[in-house]
Amino acid sequence: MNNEDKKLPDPLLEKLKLGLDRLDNVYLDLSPPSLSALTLQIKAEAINRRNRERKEMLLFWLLSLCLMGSCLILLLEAPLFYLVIQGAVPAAALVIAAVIRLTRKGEGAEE
Amino acid sequence: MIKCDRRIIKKAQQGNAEALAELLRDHYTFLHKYLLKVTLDPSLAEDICQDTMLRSMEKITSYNGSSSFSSWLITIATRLYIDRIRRSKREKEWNLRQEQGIRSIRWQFESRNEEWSDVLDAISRLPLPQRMAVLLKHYYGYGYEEIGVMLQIPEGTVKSRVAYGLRQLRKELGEDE
Repeated sequence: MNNEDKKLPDPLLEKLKLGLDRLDNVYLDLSPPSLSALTLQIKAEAINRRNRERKEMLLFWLLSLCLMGSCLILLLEAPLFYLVIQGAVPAAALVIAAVIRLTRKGEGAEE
Repeated sequence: MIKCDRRIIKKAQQGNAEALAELLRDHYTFLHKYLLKVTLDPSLAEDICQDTMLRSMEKITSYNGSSSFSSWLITIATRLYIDRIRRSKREKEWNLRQEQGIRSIRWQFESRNEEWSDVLDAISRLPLPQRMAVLLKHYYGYGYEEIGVMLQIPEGTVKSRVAYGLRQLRKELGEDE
């Protein structure tokens, strides 16, 4: 807090303070929870928090395990996948060429 | 503001549930009354007070003593309240709740044979950002900079909100300069 705006008392501010003080007085019976109830609540909250954190940690480890597993599989299986593609493309080209040749031969025999 | 023992705070930060309970109980009424003035809705004030208690239990280790413990609680409570308003999608419902809140306070005044204060009506009509700024500055006596930190806004914005709020209040209460 500081001493900014320390001037002569403003009637509006005094009115404001009085009005709000009156509100405080009307709600005088706002009583805090008992010490024992609060202590119990704090302890229960600490247990809840610990469980929540444990669950979050477990989820984190599971997710990272899944991610690491899929990365590992991709890395290990990549050469095989690469070879399959490398072999499949020329094989497909040969099959297509053979089919075209056979159809052309057939057309020539008919003529 | 409530003065509190540094030793209790330290104990609470070290995980002593009894110390934390004592600390929170000592500040409970102060916080509840602050929320009552900001929200002008007794049931909402109680809800947010509970949430603030829970949040402070969780975050007690992050309290660094740069401000008083009560200011720290006010900061948490204010941010929780702002968050709640942002999350509520329907403005109409929110306004209705505000009206119900002020009606409930009025009823409490009547049941205690207390005269209703026009100032409270005028405050309830202030937009929330201005209401909070005026309360923190002129009722609780915080500096502009502190309020800026609490509300996460620049100091200049706090000044303009306070000035606008006071102007509005003067207009509402017929105290034009």
